[in-house]
Amino acid sequence: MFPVLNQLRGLAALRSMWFFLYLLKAIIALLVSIPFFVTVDSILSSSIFGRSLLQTWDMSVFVELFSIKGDAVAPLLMTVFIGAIIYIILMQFINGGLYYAVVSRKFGQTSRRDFFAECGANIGTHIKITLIMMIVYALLIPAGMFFLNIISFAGGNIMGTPALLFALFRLLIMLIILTAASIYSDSARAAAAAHPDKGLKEILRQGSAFYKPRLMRMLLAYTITYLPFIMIWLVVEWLALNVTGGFGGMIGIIIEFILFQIAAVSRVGQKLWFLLFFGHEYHSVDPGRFLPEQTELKFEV
Amino acid sequence: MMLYRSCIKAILILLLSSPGALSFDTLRVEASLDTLRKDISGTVSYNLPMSPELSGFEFQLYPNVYSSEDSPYLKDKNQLKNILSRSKKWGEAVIDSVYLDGKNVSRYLDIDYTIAVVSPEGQSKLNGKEVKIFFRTRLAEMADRLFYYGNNYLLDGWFPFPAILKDDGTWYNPVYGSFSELVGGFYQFEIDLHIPTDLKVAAAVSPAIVNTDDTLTGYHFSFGPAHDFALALSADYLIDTSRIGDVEVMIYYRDFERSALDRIKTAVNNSLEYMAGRAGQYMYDRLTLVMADLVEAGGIEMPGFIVLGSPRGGTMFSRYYESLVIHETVHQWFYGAVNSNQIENPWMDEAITNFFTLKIVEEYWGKEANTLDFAGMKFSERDQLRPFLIITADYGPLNRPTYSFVDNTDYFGSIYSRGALIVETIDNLLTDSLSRIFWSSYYREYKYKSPTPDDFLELIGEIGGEEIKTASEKLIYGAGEIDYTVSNLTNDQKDSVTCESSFILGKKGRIDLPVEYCMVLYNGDTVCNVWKPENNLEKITVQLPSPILEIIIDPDGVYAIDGNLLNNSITFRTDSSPALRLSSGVMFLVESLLSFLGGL
Repeated sequence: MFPVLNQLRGLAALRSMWFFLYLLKAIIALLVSIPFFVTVDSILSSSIFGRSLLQTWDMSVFVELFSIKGDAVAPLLMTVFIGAIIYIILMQFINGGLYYAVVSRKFGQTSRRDFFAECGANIGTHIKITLIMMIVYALLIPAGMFFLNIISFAGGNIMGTPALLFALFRLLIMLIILTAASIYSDSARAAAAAHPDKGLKEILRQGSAFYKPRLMRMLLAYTITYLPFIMIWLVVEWLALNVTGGFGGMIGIIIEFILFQIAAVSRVGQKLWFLLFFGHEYHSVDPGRFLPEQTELKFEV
Repeated sequence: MMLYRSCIKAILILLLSSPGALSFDTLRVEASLDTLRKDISGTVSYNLPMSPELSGFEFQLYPNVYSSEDSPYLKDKNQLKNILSRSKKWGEAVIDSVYLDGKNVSRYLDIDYTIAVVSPEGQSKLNGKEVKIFFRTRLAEMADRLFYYGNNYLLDGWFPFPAILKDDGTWYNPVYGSFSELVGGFYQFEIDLHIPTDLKVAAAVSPAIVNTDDTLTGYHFSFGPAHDFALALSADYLIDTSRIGDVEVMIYYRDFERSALDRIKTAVNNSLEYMAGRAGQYMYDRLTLVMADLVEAGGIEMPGFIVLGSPRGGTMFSRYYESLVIHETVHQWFYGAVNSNQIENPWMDEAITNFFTLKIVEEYWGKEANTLDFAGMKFSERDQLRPFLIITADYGPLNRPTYSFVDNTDYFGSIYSRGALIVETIDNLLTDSLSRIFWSSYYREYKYKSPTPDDFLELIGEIGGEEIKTASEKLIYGAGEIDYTVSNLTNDQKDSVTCESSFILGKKGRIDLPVEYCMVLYNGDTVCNVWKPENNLEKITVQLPSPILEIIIDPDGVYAIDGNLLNNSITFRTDSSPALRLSSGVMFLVESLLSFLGGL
């Protein structure tokens, strides 16, 4: 069996971390959604026009909301933006402990004290890596789009289903490009966990040394961990549609909410699963400070 | 005696309303296409009208809209302007000479942009004389109406075209701006065109082959009455021929566009069927549709001839393309046959056409998800129109000339979106039975003529009465938001059999027509009344056997122009479920976004 599957067992050991990471994301998303709820509820609660939303994603309701509350879109987007910034900063704090746990192979055994100590100790490095990755993404996304535009000429004369498949193919290429970049980010963060005493330049160099020969293997591992999540997500969407279409009302909404959260939980699990494998691999190549201490053996003659 | 008079009257009406009773001047074109130089050269000849008295004449040089970066036509067509600026393959109309009854009057010719004026000195009473113009049209590379692209050609407005003579003896010769389309009077076209034999010819009529050899073929086209004659030429065209009722439908396509044929035929079939029932039969024997690579245009309508932007690269996931085909087909009635002035009153063809597009789409594919129905998301043609109701409400009245629009949002939002819903409101006010009479009368009366907004309104008054005419005037000539509201619902149980309920009805905008409102009671009964607004707000108090559960104003959606449908109803039992469901979805979206950004 492919080694990535072995790490599934490790997920069970990380279930409390899995839960808290999901909770962090859910709380921020909830806080961001509250102003949206207040705005929309003040319009929809006394009108019967929005009732179709209980059965289907009726775009006419969105159109009316957008038309009369278009001015609320910018503040709501700003709320999402602020929430995203807070989440990214919090994640840089957590990354210290998280990568420590997976690269040390001590997941499940890392005490909270050690975990948060690592979080605090490495936050600066993780923020720097994030800033560098933001530049990388800023360059990579337009470059990827340019590349996709070039290959679009190849499919210029297709239409209908082939055009749809071609569009999905281009999306897949873009996802591969972005995933490859995110794997480099993981490599650098793993290097930071293994070598906390080294400077950023050396960490990036160590990360690159791990990344270059193993990119395809890591992409494959990411895909293997991602496929179950995609399947869960599709099943959730399908069930959610049928639940709201079938039940309607508050029961449908609650079931749909739970289904959405199952998808959100599975997404956290997917990344944790990948990180467990990734940390394990990194440890094999570059254990850094996690190298077991040498034991001197004495033989009596 | 009465019977005799009636018979005479009936015969006169029949004679006047038959197309044969109308006579149209003949416009002759003899030209040849040079595919190496990418130009067309030849002559145009026609006779000047017999009245009113003329001392000069004017004609239009449409190719000059592509003549330079400074062209008013390219002002708001940035993509097209950029393409032409880069390639430097500008279009142009060159006049070699102009003859009047065989006499060269070229020295009296004055050209400014697309406007050509000939004022021969010392000559008057030019009426009836033959004008002959020797022209050469250089084609632009890649454009929207008149251009070549590789070995494909779209030729619209390719020859000098007479300006329109007004009743007072002056000429109407428009300045073509970014939102303008070709305008002209009706003619019987007799066209002789020589083109390379390898090119297939698409036009509103089948041509007769006059002469042919390996390199060049001479075609003769006889078409009319029409106010435009366009062609598309390509060696790559394949032809699909079908018959819908009495109309032969010919579709010219490239091999890679084959999979769009069924969609196009369905859309044409639905349009011809619906419009025949609402306005009248299609006016020609044949309808030609061609697919071409257009810049900054989804489709272009010409009499008997439709150019559709190629769907290449399109996923055809929605019914957007069908909607485009329907729109251009409906233009055959409003623009093709009823030739309102697109430059001065663009709503008279675009808004009316988009209104019928909406009706056809809803008739054949339902109201809810006629554009897209995917993964629980339902999107309709109306959903595309409504956002512009409020955005463009204060931009200006519907009846504005094309040159008064400041940008694409102003023009397309005001005319195509808001305009379509204004026309729908007028149509709803007429009610279904009178609406049928109105549109068929409008079509019958103004077929091959050029009605004005006043003609349109006059006919509404004749058929629907003064009240609807006044409301229509306000809708067409007025601006500003129109919105009906219901608010502040209270119930007060007086005794065991009586409940006193009160609520406020309100309206924004200039419409003062009565509007229906319905009260749904807790006991399941529904009571409907009509509100005749005297003020913008009115408190209504009613005594009913049961409390009111909910009230809906304008339940049938007569006022399609209503800018906010969310405040058209109120319920006593407030319900946060819709907002909760939306927020649950938004929360999941935000979680997905955070996962993407934060890695987890």
